[in-house]
Amino acid sequence: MTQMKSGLLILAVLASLLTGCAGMKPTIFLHPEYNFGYIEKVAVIPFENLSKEQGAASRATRLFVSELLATESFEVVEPGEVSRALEKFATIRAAQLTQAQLVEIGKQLGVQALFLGSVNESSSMRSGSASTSVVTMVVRLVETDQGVTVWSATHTEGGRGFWASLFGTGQKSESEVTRNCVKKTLKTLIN
Amino acid sequence: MKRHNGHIRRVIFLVAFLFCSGAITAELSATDAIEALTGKTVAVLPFANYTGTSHAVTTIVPMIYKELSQSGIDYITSTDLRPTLRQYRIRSVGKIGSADAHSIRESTGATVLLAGSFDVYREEGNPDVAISLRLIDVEQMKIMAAVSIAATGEDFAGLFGVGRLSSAEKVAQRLVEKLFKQLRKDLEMASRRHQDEKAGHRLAVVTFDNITDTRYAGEIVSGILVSGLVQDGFEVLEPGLVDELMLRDQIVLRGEIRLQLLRELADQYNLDFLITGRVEGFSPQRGSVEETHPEFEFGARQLDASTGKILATYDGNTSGADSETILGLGRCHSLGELVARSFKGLRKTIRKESERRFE
Repeated sequence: MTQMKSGLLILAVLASLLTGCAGMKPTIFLHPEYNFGYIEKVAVIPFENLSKEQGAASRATRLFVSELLATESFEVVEPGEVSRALEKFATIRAAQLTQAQLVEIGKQLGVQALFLGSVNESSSMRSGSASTSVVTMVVRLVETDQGVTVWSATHTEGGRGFWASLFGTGQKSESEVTRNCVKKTLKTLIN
Repeated sequence: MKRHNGHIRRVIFLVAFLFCSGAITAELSATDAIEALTGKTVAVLPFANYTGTSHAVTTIVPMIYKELSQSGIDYITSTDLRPTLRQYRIRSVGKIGSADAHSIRESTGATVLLAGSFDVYREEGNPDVAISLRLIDVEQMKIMAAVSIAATGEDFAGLFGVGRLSSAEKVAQRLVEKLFKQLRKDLEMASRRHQDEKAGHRLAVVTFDNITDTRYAGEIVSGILVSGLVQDGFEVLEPGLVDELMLRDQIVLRGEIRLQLLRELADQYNLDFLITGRVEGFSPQRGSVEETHPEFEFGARQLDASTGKILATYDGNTSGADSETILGLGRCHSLGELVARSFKGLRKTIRKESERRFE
């Protein structure tokens, strides 16, 4: 009986170690008083790339727009219009835009809220014949009346899950991992 | 004994057929006259060369001229067109704006323009070639037909590899022949549609943004998409017309559009939709056929031309190995072909959305 118990314990520890490599649960902030029903039209400011992989933020932004549209919750402004509105602030990093500037951009685009974000990590690791991709994204939603953040989420996706570690199955491309990361991040705002 | 001999003959015939099946995939050269171009002069514009090698131009251009001659088309070569291009300072290659097209017509009498690009031309390893061509009616500034075609030497291999082509020149030769056959077919289809007065929805493609390491990937895939949409029966705006408006505003947009410009395009050309997107992965097969395969990743969106609203998005991420069934069968070796296959889903989405909007 004791042998069986210790065997189960070892298995549980092993499983938790292996699953620990896979994505974490997202960290979320939701403004407790904000009425999200007010938002009809949004714009996505191109995400910043804080990772070492070139094009990671660009891919994440595109997938974010696609997934956002797929939820059919908001109307999304054409990215070309966003670029035009941002021309005036070309020298400022998106993360450093002041509240007043965010309000101005929102007014120019005719949107109730802006999505801003960054790809903090996007990497691929190869061990033997298997490769693993990890993507971490931080996204926030800023309402354009006062420039206040009303939602924010951080999510890490990727790594190798239990079965993938054990049998070397379920390898995902960076694009798939990014898409899953975007989906799970958005899910914290739109169910 | 006689019966036995007949049996052997049948077997030999079958084996010979299987051996040669790869070698006979390319058909005979197009020699019939193209009705839609009878009595018209076609000016051949300088082709855009995205291949990174001048061999593509020196090899493919004479093949195109040969096919034009065999089809009985009256044409002006791009070399003969050079003084006119210089006179009117026409610098664009592979596409043309309205003002430039009309200048060419006035100067040369050409009522149809042949424009296009050499997208891929790889000589080493498994030779890979991709070509895009468009016929443009100058009067209406309308694309009459557009074809994008691609193949590798491996694609011509039959049983036991018989028929495999080892030189890019031979692959190009087969492709040019096939391309003209397709052009003829498309022109006939277009003329039938015209007779039935079935006008397709009008759309424009803004050159895709490119974040890959391959130069011109955006231009290449946009050209392939234009060809696919024209074949679907859409009236696609000549890409040079979109560039013409951007040039006037002194802006270069890739993978996006500004509302003001979109409205102008919609008003001026009676546009229904606009398609644009971004190329994020574009790599050809490198090394041996067994080890590697081409890869393509993109995202595209369809916009309502009158409101600028995003109607649909489509993301694709494919590799040549995705279509493999067993023992390498069904594998896609050509990058151009992979792009065309990947775009099938996007084209279906565009068709669906267009039908839904005009129900």
